[in-house]
Amino acid sequence: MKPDLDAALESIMRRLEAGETLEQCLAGLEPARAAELRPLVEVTRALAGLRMTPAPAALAAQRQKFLAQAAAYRHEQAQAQENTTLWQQMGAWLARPRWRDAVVAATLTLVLGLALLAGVLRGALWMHQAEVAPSATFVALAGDTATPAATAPMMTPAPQESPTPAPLPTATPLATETPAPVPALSQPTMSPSPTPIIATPTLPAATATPQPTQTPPPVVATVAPTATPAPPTPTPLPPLPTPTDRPERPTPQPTVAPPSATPTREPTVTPTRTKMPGPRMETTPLPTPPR
Amino acid sequence: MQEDLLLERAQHFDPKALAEIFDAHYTRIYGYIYRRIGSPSQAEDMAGEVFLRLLEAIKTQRGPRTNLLAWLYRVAHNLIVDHYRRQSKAATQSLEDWLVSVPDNLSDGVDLALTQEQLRIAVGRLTFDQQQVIVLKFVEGLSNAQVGMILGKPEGAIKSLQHRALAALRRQIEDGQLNVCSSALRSALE
Repeated sequence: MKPDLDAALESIMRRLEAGETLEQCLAGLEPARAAELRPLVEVTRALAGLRMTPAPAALAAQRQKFLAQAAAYRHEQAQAQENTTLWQQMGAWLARPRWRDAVVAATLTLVLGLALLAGVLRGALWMHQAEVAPSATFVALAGDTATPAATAPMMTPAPQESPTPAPLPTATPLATETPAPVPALSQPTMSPSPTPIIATPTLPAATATPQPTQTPPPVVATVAPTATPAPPTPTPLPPLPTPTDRPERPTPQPTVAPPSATPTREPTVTPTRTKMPGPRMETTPLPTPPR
Repeated sequence: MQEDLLLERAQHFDPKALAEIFDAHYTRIYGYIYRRIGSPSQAEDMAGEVFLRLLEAIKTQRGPRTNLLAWLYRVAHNLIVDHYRRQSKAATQSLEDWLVSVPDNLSDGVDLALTQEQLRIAVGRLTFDQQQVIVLKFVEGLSNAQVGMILGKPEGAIKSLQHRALAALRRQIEDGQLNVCSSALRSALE
């Protein structure tokens, strides 16, 4: 049986449904094709005529049952609508398939957006800290003589920021000395400093520091009183000024440079040092650079 | 009334719309199930169950938005499959009961019974899928698209099944196994 025979059969079935007789439908066909189609049409028509019908009583009973159930659901639906809150209605509305995908997509977009925003803000904060840190470290360094342990936390950001490179070249003689402060720090680490880590108050000083960049001179003074040996031993410790990191460091050093107290550059020291025990602080007046 | 409007009203359990749906489709669903099950009482219950499932689907907002008849046949088909799973009967065995009773609209004595028997045997020799297609297409009068939707097959597969089923019936006619020239059949066709 060929596919076109299927199409011819379907065409005849449609014409029969439209009211034409079988003879009329077959009249326009070739005799061979008509003879081929006739039995198939008769079988399919016979099949169509064999539909079952339910008993009227059974049909009425099923109909009544169906409509009663529908009425119960309708009543239930009406009650539910009265009891639902606005939020529940919104939830049901959003739970519909057509909206569900949209809600999921919007939520994902929102979450990704927030994550991106958080990342940007964190980056901005980091940059801000990077800008502030150097100045703080310098201020701190001015007053410190001691514990490297305390310095360590501050140092981590400092190394990159410590813009010292610029000043170093300018103040040639001093630059040579700059390494000296580092050793000073290193030794304190060895020697147990009485007041090892004092965290808090240093920062305020740091804020003030920018001007006191002259602090260097006091540093020298402070170092002397403290047990820690001021003498610059050129030990390689200081991690701060890595040449590669320097490029972005614009701020603090330049300010430091002008004051003649070049030695103050000692970048390596931590800011926390400013908290040095009471007596030391007194002995070492930070701000006034003796000119 | 257009089907989409009818379904829209049915979503709110409108009694008139639901009654219209029931009146339009119950008999066909019943006949489809009856031919598969062979028991009038079971067919009535299962047809009623199909319509109750329609109400449940509407209630949970998963009801059909278009093509209601195909949706109903699909549910009926699933119920039949479940029925035979429960009864652990082979589907082909049940199909031997195809056309188990004399339809109300045909009555012509012995010739008619003979024709029915011939049709039953002829269709029973087809494969299960071919039988499904023949019944849905030529007994229920559905389109290929609707049959495909009910059986979960693409329209091309339905055409192919129909083609093979008709070819098999034609071979039976040619072999004389199915006498389409009986007077009862002719009278039924006229």
